[in-house]
Amino acid sequence: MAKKKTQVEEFDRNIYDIRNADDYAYKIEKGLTKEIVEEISRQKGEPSWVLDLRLRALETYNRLELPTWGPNLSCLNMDEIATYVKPKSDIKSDWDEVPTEIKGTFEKLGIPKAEREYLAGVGAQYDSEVIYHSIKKELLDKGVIYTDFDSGIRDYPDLVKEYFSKAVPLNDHKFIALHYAVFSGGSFVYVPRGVQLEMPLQSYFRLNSPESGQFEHTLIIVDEGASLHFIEGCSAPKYNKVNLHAGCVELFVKKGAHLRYSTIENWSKNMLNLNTKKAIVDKNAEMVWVSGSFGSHISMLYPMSILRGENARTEYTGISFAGTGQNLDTGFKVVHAAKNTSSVISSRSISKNGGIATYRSLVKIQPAAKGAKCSVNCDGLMLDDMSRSDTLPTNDIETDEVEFSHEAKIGKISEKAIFYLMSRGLSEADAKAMIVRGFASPVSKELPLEYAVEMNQLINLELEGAIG
Amino acid sequence: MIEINATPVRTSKNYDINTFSVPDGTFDGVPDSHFYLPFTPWNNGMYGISDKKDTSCRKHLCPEAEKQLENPSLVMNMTVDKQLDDPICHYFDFSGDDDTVVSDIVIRVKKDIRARIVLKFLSEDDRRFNNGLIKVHLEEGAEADVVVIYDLGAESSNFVSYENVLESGARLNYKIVDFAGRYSVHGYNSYLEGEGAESLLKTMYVGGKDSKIDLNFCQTLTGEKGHTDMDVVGALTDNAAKNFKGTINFVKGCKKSVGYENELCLLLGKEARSKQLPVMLCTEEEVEGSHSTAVGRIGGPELFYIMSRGLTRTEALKLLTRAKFNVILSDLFDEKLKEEIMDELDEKLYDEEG
Repeated sequence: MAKKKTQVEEFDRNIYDIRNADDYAYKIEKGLTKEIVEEISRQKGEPSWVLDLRLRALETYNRLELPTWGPNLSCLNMDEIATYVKPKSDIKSDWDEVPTEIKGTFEKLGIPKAEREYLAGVGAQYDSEVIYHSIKKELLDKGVIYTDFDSGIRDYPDLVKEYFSKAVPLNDHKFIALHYAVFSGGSFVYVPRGVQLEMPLQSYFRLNSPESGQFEHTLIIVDEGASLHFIEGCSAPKYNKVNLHAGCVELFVKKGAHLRYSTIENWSKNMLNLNTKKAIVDKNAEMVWVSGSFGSHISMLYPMSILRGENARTEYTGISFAGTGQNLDTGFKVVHAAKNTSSVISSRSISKNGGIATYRSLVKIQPAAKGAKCSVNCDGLMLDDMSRSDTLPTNDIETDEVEFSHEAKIGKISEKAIFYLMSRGLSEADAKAMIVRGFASPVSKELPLEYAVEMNQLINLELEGAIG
Repeated sequence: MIEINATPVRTSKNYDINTFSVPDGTFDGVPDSHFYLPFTPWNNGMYGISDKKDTSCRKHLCPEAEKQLENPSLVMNMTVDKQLDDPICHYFDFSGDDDTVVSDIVIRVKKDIRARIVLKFLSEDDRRFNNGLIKVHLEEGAEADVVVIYDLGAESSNFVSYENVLESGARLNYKIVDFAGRYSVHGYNSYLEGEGAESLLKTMYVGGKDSKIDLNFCQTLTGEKGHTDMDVVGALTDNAAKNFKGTINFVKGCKKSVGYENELCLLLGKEARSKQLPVMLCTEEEVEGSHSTAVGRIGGPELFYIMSRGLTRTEALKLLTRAKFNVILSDLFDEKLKEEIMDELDEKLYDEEG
């Protein structure tokens, strides 16, 4: 048995790999046709405008071509993917009413415990539907809406119609068209004017069914002067065949509002993660992204902020960790479209055991964005010479009144640093692990403590046997 | 439109930087039947020269440009096999009746020889067209300082492919000075194949009204202990637009190699536009690479400070601009040439104010 070179402390990888029986109330046939899209809509009992949108999206999907850049997606065959899997549970607001097996999965993932201890509300999605949703009563009293997306369409149609598909149009790219054709589940959040949530809301997305896809839609509106921290988690057990995640996150941060959106993504390594996230940020508002990408076979994930109001700000802090068989193509996009907008982008990527980590980004500063400021920093760390680390940042500057700087570094762990730590009594493997954790610390320090611990544990898991 | 000067790795086509578009027929022009020789040599200008054509190139700008190069009107094939005290200088004056020039220049520096070479492409007329290829091959231990200067007029179109091959211990210090016209497209590829090869590229560009500049620079490191450094400084006035695509490619096996690239773009026009794609590709662990890019303008406190010392605004602007561009020219071996370039820079950027 191969020697494990790093220590893994009291953290069980198996919690992510729990594989329940593929036991569902309904699973749509594999493939992507008009009939399948209509059947999903019928199963969900949607209004006609939603079906119309789905069908337009399907046409767009069929018309658009696969990206000619980025990772090779030839392993994706939509004829082998079931786009809708309804679990054997309706939505509940009490964990005790959730079927034992599903509840057990989420308990092992720590969701109910997190809810009790430090969350203001939780949504849990299992395959294509949300099976649990709750929010603290005092937030309901303040007018906060936090519900699953289907309920949002049904109960708040005007609000949903006003914002749905407005940040991310259905012709943005091929996989967002796919998303709109078959979307199911996700969350709808509205934080009223001036309401400040001191504790985060969290949605957790679990895909259990093999050869299926998850296409949840998250729509968050933080109204003027309000504040929210939203946490998104996702995982799936590993199967031999491809699973697909093509979710969509639309965020609207209104005048003077603040939104922090944190993600710890740990999809299984047979997953294609083709997610789309975009925030529209108004005057004096702030959008903060914190993103950790650890799982998936292929990821193409580039959250985006559009700073359309004066003095709007955004920050992105992200890390990706690509190991064996993984191709993580991640990064960030920002458009400065108004005066005195500012952005700070910090990205770290680690590759090991043949993994491919790519940082790909866009900074666009439009002519109207006089006085814009943007700082970009991206670093890549390679832990061996089987792996690959690339950076492809695009900067498009259209105004002379701008302060823009971009820095990137790539390399291996400094031998001097290892020597120094070893001279202080650490083994070589522990010294390397400590340096990697330090490399990732700009991300972990942006997360709530409990999630930072989880992220560090994920890093330990990824490092297991990789260095030394 | 023809898509030319493709980056080694594609990114999203929506970013509109993977290639550069020029009108159909751009490379259809046929030069006058005679070769463009004689050019005007300086100093050692006729040293080691032959007119043997060699238009092979690992990466042309596009098939159309490659085809046009099959019939060059200017051929210079130079082999430097002995140490010369003075630089080898060539002054190509494109003024005259022949609008279209297709140039094929090959420079080979033999083992352990050091060469200093200046190529100036100038024109008093507008609407010059140059489709060029400049190849430099440095044998083991060879060193070359190569300076290429373009000033072909405001309406000119200049398309150049560069190919450099560096054997073990070779050292190339390349400077490109581009006072761009309508189109200015440079596809630059250096291959650091031998152990300890060193490739430095310092480039300055100035784009004026309607200029479109596309710089696609790629340094590929395959030998161990390679070293590459790219510094680019430019200024854009009016509605000039520039793409800078700089790639450092650390290929597996180039252990202990280092690579750096920096670009500073000064936006001096309200409608000027700068796009940058500084790429690092890495399949070798034991390397060190970094890049940085910045965009800004000249002004603010530093301008105020210098003017408070008694300089006029134009004098202060010139001084600050020269300081930025000095990064590129500071190690130029010919002080007189350096001053000529700086004077031209002043004139291009500030003659209206001066």
